Amino acid sequence: MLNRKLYPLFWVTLLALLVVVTLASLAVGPAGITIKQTVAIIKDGPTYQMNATFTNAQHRIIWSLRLPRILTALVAGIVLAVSGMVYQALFRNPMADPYVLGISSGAAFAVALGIYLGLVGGATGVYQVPLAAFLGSAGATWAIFILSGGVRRSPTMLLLTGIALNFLLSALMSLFMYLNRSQLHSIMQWTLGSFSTANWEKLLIMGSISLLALLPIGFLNRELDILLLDDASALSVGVSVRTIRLILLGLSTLATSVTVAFCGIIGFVGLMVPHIMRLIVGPKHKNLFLFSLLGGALMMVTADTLARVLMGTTELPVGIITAIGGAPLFIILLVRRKRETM
Amino acid sequence: MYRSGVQSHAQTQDYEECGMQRIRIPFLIIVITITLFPLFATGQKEAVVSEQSPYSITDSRGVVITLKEAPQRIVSLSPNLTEILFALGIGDKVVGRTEYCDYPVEASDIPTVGDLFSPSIEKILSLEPDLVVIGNLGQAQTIDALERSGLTVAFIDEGETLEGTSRLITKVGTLTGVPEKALEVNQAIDDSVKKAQSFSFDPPTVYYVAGFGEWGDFTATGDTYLHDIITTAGAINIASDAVNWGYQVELILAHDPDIIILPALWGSTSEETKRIFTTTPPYNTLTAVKEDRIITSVENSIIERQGPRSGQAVLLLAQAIANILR
Amino acid sequence: MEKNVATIENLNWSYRNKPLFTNLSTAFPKDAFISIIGPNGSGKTTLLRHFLRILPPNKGAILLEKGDLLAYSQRELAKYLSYVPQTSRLEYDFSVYECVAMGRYAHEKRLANLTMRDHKIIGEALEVVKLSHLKERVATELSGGEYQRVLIARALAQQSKVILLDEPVSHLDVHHQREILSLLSSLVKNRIATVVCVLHDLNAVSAFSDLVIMLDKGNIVAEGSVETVLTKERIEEVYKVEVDLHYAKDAKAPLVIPKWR
Repeated sequence: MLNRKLYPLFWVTLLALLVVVTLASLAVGPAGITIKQTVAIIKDGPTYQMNATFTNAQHRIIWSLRLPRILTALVAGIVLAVSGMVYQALFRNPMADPYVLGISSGAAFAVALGIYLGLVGGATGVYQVPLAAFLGSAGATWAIFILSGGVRRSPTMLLLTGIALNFLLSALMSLFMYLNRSQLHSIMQWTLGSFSTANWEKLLIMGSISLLALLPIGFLNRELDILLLDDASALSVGVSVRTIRLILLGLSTLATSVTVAFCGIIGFVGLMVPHIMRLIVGPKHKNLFLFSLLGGALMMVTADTLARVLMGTTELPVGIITAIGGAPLFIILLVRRKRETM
Repeated sequence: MYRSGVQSHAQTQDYEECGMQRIRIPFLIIVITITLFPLFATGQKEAVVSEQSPYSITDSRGVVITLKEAPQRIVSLSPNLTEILFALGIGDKVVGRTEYCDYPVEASDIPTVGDLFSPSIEKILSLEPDLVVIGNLGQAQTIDALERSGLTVAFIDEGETLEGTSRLITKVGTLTGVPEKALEVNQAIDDSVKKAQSFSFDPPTVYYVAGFGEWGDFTATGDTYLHDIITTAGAINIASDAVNWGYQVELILAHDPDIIILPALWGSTSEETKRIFTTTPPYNTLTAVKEDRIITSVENSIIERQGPRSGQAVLLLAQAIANILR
Repeated sequence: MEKNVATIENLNWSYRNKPLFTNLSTAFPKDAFISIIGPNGSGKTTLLRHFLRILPPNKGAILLEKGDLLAYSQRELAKYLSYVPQTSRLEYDFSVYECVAMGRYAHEKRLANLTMRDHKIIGEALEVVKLSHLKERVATELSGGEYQRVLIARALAQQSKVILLDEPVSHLDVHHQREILSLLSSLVKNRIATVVCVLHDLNAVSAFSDLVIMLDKGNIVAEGSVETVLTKERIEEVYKVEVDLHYAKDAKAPLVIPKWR
């Protein structure tokens, strides 16, 4: 664990890295726009003015494609990392991630079902898929809640019910994918997660809802710390466990569902970023919130940039990058930590 | 407290590992043997041929297929091969097809044996074919299973080019005993292509929309048959340097193609597809969209299938392009 | 009401349709060391859990200083009573100081940091349990006894009028048992808090208690001073074990020795 005195240095470093990666991300991509051109385009502002250095198309690529996309990745990274942090506290389990309560399986199932029924498909209206996904997430989470007896039941009950429902929904999704083999790749594509369809409008909707939902969480740091104790201790110290849990669960689930609805299912970030940050800066949520936020944003923007440039003309799904990139890092940190404690 | 828990766990692991070693090695041997067994067990694929017979080709795997006489009961497992058989005039000999074999319309009278990926082997056997033909969408498992059941299977895929198509037609014609008809069909294709190339326009840049939007951007990349059709029709495919159908939307914007080919999306009509494409950002900012230089008239089954209609496809495409450029 | 920190009147509780408490009534007087004893399953822990409202009591059954237990907000309740569990495993690397600081939650303003006063109180709590030298240590590295003292320090930092403890010393060696029980006793003597303690060790009960409440199968079978409750007959009847009682010179509180063989 890092010495407490180094925390400010650490977050400044993270922030600096984030800025650098974001700017670099703007300048890279298969369309071959040079850094000089990128800078000129940014200086030009959001409306195109005739310019010798770059074309209208290039201007549009930067302003209408790359910029909203990078910002969407940033928001998604923040949402998933902070939600992961909350879920890990709620379940007192550092291996929890935001998808344990059915958000991902519900969304994927709803999209697969929608395609099968022909309600969603081809390239139907921009918001049909996100809407279907969101309803699926909400439905699954609600079902898990009801089935496990509500907040009255322990987090373990919720977790177990979540696992069971995840299996069921995954199986059903596979069924619909199989019955619909010609559309298989569409569903697969979506489930692997991608920022390729990001635009300003979607960013506005997704960003405002999810960031607003996360904001109150920043003020519940002490409660999050105390929730890590057993229920009896938390109650005894004065935390209304049931109420706080409900609020935290509701807010983070909302933020995550909206993000998944627009970006697909991007795994690992919600699990790894808070976990890694906890290994570095400790369990106090006052610190963890800030570092998870920065770490999530950084990881996602980096992953998205790689997704766009690793294979030239094709784009890799972001979810694959986050998994392949993050898992080894995670293992290294775990092994090093295990050695420390032995 | 935490520390002691971790230690005792490590200890029990040691004990387990000792026991595990003993079980592991023989287990590994068994697993490896079982996995390699099929390699030893594979029987002869080739029909031993002593005599030359006219109904003989080397299929695209390199397997020599010889029939004693012209096949009377053919099962076709690829839509393009079904088309070819009908074009060769022996559609009446086709006793089985896949669900996707939808052209010509007479094909719908023929019973189906399933889809492209896992057709029913049983069903195929029950039709008692003397020849099964399968093209490049066929799965290795299917071919293997059919051959094990004693059927003769010809895998015919000569490359995703127009030239490959003519070889394809020739092979099918030879194997089924109608080589002269095959020549005719090929000639017709050549004629159409020549007619297409008689249009004189400056080669426009073109983008073929195989998929767009939420599901990712897909196009006729340089390694596809569509690419050959597009190029032969006299256009320049902006995605010629890409492979495997995948593409990035910002490249479309960067190239800003002169013309967009937009076939109807699966399950939708061409008008509906066009409406959606032209109103979805960022596609709606493309010059070709703004100036309505979109070709929707070419049906995908004509343009995507390697078969007798390919010449027609080139001609239709060239015609559509010429109309727009006028 | 002044005399008692809590009054229980006709508390009823059933678990899975089997009644445990039927019209249970008793009172906890102020500034006393109160021990709750009884065989396993007699309802001691259950009784304490009612106070935390993990198991909600029926209306009006438990009355505190300001009225019905159910009417308190969680924060208000925390200022009134605190709870030290039997064992709780902490799996996260909070420092000892941070653990104790959690006890200040009920007193903190929502958006403010810990005040100077808060820090002073935490420091004092650590002093009292003699853990000041370990305050920056990670709590998971402490021994069982040290950690138990952290939990007590947390309860102290909470500055509650009543401290409820559920078998706080069952897992500790005799040295630490004495340390903690003496500490609790001195809190009571200095009128800092009222202590309600579930204990198994009858000799500890004998040595420290002002008031003993004996439960058996959910009923209070005896209530009063150590001498009145800890009689040979009663112990043998309730615990179903033969015992010998020895009295040291001039002592009213007995030494309880079970007949092991």
